[in-house]
Amino acid sequence: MDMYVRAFQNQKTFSYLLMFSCLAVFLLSCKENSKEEPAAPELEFALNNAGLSLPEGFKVIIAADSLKNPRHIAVTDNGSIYAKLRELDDDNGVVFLEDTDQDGIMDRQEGFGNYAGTGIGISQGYLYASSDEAVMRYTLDEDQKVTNKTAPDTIVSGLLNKRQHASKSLTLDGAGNIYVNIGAPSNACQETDRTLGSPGMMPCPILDSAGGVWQFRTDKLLQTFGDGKLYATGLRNVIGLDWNHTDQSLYVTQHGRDQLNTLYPDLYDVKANADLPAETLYRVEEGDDAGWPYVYYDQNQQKKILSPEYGGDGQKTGGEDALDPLVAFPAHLAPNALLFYSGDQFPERYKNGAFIAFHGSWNRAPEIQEGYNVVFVPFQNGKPTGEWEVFAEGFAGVDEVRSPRDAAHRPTGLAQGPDGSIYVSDDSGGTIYRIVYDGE
Amino acid sequence: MIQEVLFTELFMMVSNTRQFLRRQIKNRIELLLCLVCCSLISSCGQKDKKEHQEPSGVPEEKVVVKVDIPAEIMSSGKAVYDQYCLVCHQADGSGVPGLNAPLIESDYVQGDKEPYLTILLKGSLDGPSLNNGAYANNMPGFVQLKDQELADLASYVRNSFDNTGELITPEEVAEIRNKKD
Ligand code: HEC
Repeated sequence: MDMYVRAFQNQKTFSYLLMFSCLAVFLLSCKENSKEEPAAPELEFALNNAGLSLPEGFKVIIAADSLKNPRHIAVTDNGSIYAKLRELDDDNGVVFLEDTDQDGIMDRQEGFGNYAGTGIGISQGYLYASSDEAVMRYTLDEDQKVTNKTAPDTIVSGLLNKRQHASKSLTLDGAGNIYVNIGAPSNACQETDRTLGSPGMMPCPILDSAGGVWQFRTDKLLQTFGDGKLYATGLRNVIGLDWNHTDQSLYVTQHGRDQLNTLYPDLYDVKANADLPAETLYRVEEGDDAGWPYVYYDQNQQKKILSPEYGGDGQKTGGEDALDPLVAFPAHLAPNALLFYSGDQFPERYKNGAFIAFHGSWNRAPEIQEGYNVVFVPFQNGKPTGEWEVFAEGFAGVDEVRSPRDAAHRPTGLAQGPDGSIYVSDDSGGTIYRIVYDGE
Repeated sequence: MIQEVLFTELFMMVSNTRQFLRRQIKNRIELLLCLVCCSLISSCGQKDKKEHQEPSGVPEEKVVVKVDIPAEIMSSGKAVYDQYCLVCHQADGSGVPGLNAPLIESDYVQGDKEPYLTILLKGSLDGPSLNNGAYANNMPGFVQLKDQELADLASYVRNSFDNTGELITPEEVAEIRNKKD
């Protein structure tokens, strides 16, 4: 065993050396070529839009690739990117990417923050980033570079992390508040999670500490869970959320429940499970309840249906006081990011509309998986003004995704750049795409 | 094995420098050539190493013994898998990255019967994880299934998805089920 390890290490050094010499030879041989290149800051669009399909006039730049599971992203006023990593890369959980020559491709990279996680956001001179238990804050200088990489402030710590639905995604309202998802570590609040025949708990005790969005202050350090205010409840797991500055409201996308047919084979078959329940987009006000775990939203009947764990049969309705979604999407697509578009670069119809990044399904199995795309919903004054439509697809790189492992890329984060481009992060292939409108 | 690791290593290094290169080199063929060249050379080095290792008694690749499981057990085991397990572990056993463990060439599946059957009976809920937190979902236990169903299922999974292992009997399931812990 020891020998094996040693052999491996030698081998590794060897390969590094080799790579380095290859590179050197290589750069020398290309030197002349590069001299002819004018240093004009032209955007380096990806060949064939990097395999993505987009509406007419949109183009793609691979802003970064080979990152280690980038989750949510934030773009600075000069087009640099902060990405939160789900897995540590060399002990760093945040990566800062810069494009020094303005060709759209990030050419400088620096890591910091020794915790993995999902949430990240910039607001009022600070960068906020979350682990699965805490939210940290970094001070930004006038170039929006972090000045205290190794000594961030702790905004809140000790948030519930029981492995399932642990991502603490976040958004900020610019008025002193930060909104943090605390996902329910459960599918449908059964006594024993995801277990055949285990009844739903009444009332669901999980809702006391999870299954909602909590509001914390941005100007108070070292808050604990108890300092937060339960802003909206009955939300199973909200990975995509955004503060909409046009109507000063919080919007969230919920991952709907799984496994209707495996848990209730007498009521639902494979096809019904692949179709139900809807993934949902809500506008939430303080005190709202979206109904989980007692009800789910059936987009075909357009009703809130009582969960089978709580005596439902697929028809009985419930949750009279619970919110109705603004938009209902097909089941299990996993909305992982929400972004209200406020830029001027895209055509007029995109202004103030919502982009949603779908990570892509797994719970539709054995049916073909769906999602793995970015969709658009036109909005005016806080209300959708038309049907949702697919905006960008082809991330998976295969015609049919049977198992999520087949997908090369899975959209997870969204951010808007200073020029109105949008950025899409992918936590499977490690790519950050920049989508630019280059039409008339 | 080493070869695989090495290749990944190289690939990652190349990817990291790729963006830089992309601006330097318009001619991608050169990049390709370099890649091929590098991997060729490194795989040569690889061979040398292997020759080095063999005399020193490092075990060769594990010999895969195909176990003959009666067809009816495989098909009844598959029926249980499709009904209860497929939704999480997927039709090809590949699982869901970051969420549900893959069952392909799984040490738990091919290893000792007791830990394997214990996972099937008790699952892995909330607390400490089987895989150091690599998979976020909860795995439910399946105590409500009959000994025969669990035995067929366990034998099927053990001989699918590139796993091999001997047949598991209902008596063995009953023994683990009845163990006081
Ligand atoms: C709700 C999703 C879910 C269902 C249903 C499910 N599993 Fe799992 N399974 C998991 C997760 C998650 C893990 C990883 C647990 C951990 O790391 O602690 C796992 C781990 C395992 C393992 C250990 C494998 C390894 O290498 O870690 C085996 C074996 C297994 N499952 C078999 C099954 C079988 C057989 C069934 C059907 C009876 C089944 N599972 C049903 C989610 C599920």
